[in-house]
Amino acid sequence: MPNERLEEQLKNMLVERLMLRMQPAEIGDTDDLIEKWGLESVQLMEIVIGLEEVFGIQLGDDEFSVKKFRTIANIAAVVREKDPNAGAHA
Amino acid sequence: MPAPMPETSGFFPATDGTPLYGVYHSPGSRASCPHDASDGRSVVIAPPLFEERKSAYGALAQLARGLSEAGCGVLRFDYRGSGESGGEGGQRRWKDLAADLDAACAAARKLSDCEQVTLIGTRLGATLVLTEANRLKPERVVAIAPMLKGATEVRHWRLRSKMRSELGGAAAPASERATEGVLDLDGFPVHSGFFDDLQKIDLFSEPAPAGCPTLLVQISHRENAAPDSERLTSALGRQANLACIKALPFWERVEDADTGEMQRRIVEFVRAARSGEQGTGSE
Repeated sequence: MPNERLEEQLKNMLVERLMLRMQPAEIGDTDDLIEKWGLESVQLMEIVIGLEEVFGIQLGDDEFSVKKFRTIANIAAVVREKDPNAGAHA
Repeated sequence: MPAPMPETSGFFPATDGTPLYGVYHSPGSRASCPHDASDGRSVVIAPPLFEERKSAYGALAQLARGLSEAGCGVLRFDYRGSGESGGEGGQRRWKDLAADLDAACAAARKLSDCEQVTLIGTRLGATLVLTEANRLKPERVVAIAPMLKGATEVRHWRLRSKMRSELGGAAAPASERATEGVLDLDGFPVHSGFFDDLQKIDLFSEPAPAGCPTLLVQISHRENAAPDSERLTSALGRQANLACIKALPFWERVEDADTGEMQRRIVEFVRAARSGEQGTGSE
């Protein structure tokens, strides 16, 4: 979607890649993905891989922390830190 | 429901005598003559390692039973230092996996009385099968979600280990707790040299057609081919085909995964050998 918010792109990616039976809009930007949606390490890893494939972002060992992937808002911050233009265009 | 096919478990020797554990599934009633080399088929399943091995175990056992019902003799086995095989995981190198696959092929030929072996690998096992196919000269190859670049996989393993450590509240990521060249990967001892070996593997840099019909199986959220899957299929040559299955990766799931479609496509592909067809594993 043109000019789609980065957060919406991330939610779409998450639902698609994890094959979740829910609508992306059901995920709040600040929902705790682990506590509220039950994501485990395998699924967090899938998000990391998704960031690599979709946004071209690679995280090193020292750059990763679970806290950075707890919420869509946090993940978006990671993406913007690596690519300030992410989500700013289609 | 068909009668259960006999399954026999036991040990066979690796080339250096290390006892390797295996489960052999006898050919089922569909084989017109189970021990007739002209009709029967022999299959070796090369598993993943570490957590992926645990998660994939049930699905691969089901696959073996499906192939057995289809008339194939199927050997599942554990690499040295994993499962119930002898040897130390912390001493294992990539060349040891290759040697163990070699031994498994020899054992499968003996058990099934078939000279030709079909190799089925999953994840690291798929990468192993693809890199060793030219040497082992199997009749057919099935590669389920091979690890494409070892360096990427090692990086992902380290990241996942760090995730698990943080989620579990551990003091330090497991992979950092090294003792005398042996790393701890989520409780699995890994020789530091094994990571070095793996990082040298790149299925794209030295693509080598297996020299036989090859089925690459992509299992992911995608219904269509991922760019890397297409690229690898092309690199593997004209005898390679790609099956795209939209499903959660069974090697990552604690609970049972739906592998019915995968099983159906693989059995169809392997059975095509009997009729002399190339087989595409297509719907």
